[in-house]
Amino acid sequence: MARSITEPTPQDFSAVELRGDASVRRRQVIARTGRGVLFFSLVLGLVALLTLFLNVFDKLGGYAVYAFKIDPLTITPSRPLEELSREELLALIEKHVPEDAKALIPEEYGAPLEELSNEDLVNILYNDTPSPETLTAKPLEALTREELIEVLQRNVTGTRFEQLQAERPLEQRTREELIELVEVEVLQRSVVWQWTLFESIFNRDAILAEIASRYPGSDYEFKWWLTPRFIASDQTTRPETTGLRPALLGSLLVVILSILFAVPIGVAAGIYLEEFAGKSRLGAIIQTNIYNLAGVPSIIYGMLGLAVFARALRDFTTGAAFGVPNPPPNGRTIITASLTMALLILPLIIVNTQEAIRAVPQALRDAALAVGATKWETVWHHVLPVAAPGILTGTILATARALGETAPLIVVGAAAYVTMDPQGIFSSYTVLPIQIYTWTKLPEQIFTRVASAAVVVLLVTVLAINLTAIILRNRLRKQI
Amino acid sequence: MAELSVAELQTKAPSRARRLSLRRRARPGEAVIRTILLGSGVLSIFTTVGIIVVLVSDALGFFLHPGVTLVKFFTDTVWAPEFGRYGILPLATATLITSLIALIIAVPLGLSAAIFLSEYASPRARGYLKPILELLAAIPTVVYGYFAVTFMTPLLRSIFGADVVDFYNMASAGIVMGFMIIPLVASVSEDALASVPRALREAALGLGATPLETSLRVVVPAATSGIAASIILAISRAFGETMIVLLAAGAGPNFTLNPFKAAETITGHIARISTGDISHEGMDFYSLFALGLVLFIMTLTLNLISRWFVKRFREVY
Repeated sequence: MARSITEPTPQDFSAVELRGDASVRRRQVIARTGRGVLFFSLVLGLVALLTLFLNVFDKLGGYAVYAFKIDPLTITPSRPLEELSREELLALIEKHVPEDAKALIPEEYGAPLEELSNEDLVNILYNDTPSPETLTAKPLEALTREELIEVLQRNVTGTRFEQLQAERPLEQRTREELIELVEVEVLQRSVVWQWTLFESIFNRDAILAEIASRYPGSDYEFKWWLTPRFIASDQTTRPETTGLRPALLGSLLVVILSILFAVPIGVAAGIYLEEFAGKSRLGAIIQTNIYNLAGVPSIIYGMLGLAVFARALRDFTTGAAFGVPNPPPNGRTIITASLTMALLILPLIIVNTQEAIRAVPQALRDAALAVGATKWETVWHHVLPVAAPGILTGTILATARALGETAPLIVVGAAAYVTMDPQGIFSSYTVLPIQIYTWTKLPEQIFTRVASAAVVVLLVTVLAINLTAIILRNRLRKQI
Repeated sequence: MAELSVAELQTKAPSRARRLSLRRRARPGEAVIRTILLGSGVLSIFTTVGIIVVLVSDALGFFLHPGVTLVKFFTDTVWAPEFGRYGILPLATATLITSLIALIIAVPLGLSAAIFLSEYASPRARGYLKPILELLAAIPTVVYGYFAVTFMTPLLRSIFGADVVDFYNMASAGIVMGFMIIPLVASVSEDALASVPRALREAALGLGATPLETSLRVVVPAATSGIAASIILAISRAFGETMIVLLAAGAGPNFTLNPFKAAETITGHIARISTGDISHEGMDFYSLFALGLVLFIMTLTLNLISRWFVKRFREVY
């Protein structure tokens, strides 16, 4: 670096310029390439994440081919053949008995068709048609609403019938809805194959051609998985009928309860650390401790909850100590989940509260203290109102975290299959992310489609909550 | 109210007021409030103590079992509680491999994104991209797990062949975990880069360095400790991540270094075993806490190192 300074000659300048020119150009090329590479990385990261969203939407709908597991005519009301009139019987024979069998009738029964007794006609129908029981059955579309309801009542289990009634009384449903219900519930109309959303949009003609050749005559439609029915229905074992309601209600209860537990304690701890602890040793210890807690993997909180709330305090968390009948096994209740989740979001709330309080101008405190307010009066009347929006932001972020967190609830025992809505804080439960996990894990591929609908619900909710918090915070920053 | 009465006292009975020490005013209300606030703060210490007590006491139930020795726990290559084999190696290698893959993806991408955001992007672009990063960091991990199973695994299988890549495999879980960690690395590193004083950049540019040279040779070295902290945080996050590996990496311990094979990580094993109707006693249950203890110690150490880095870095400027 240090060179002896001599008077430069004009030649020196041109030499420097020339040498500089070549290396500067090279360096600038490197700089531009480097900039490109850096930008490319950012884009690559964003593309990867965009792929994630597109993948979820891709699974959300598409052309689906259906098959009935049960023949519709076997379940609709029919009259016994013996009760039919002569004309009806002859019409049925004309329609359903094959021509070659008809030709043999005079030989077999010793008289032409028109002269045979009713009994013989019934026998012909029984012998020469493939499924004699369904000859008089009405097609599904011809049934009245009352008949449809009766078919349902006869063919689904009692509990399922009650579930359906509870979702919306059958008497209030339209005929089309009832027909669809019979098709799905009784005939077990199920998806045999489904194309993805993008295939269905960009490759429509090829898919329709394939349906015609591979599944001739079968029922197909463009099926969406995320429907109002899906969100409002109970959980069942079949992808076509299962729903999200128990999981949504479970999530709602767990999130609200954990916020109720965590926010008062978290805000109080934040106030203590910022306003009362000062430079005390205890304050420093608590502070370090909170930063460390924030880095503990969530599954470890699950183990804490398992050992403390689900095992040691089982009598309280199942409500057995309060005389609640039929407690769920192993302390797998909403209250266990909420307490565990509250511990998990506590550090988040404390840190955000601290930040919000730290942003309050010192002049406010000084002014309040100077006119004789006590420490607590200063905090309560002057610091907290100013810090409140910031604390609210932290609470909103914590809500989103509690909603999306899965691992600790798996450990403390969210049940995978819960058909009923949660009945209270001592009830067993499932939550949205657990439901996604369970559906994704099932061997039947079609359940990943069901899971995609649940993923969209979870993603939209979590991102909307976070977006609210971010917007709120950015506004606050501008104000301060 | 309290202040008023003091003022009254001072006017009515100056002699008594003089005896009133302003330092030791009797305010039972304030003391109670202070105690409640302190109690809330101390509760967080109880959480930590609770975690340690729970993990250690139940892990003791495991380690004191006659069939288990510390040496075997750390060296046996088979984890098969039904045969009395408790070697953490298969679970630990799976955790390390998935985390390594995740870091190979997340560190270069996240760091480059951070450098671009902090050194090149216009304030307007940064104003949009930073909140997007935050939003992405908030995506629940089960969604990433879903992505791994329904997109990454089929993709890997179609590229490398279904006979090479298992349906459950560590590569898919690791790659998706990498995506998940990108926002974390990017946002923590960006904070570190952004707090490098402007004077350093201006000095470098003034001496004729190109923007890239300024970023890589001046700003990044100045922010090393913050960047290191972000990487360590990322490792800790990868070790503790559960849902992605539970869904995509495999449902059984498997001692292998091949990333295309199925193998269960420590977190995945804890989650899978506790899903069933596990009894709250017995070796299966206690062994989970031993694994949890190992995981806790690993992540706690990493977090402490990361905090130490950040502290050092804050002292510089």
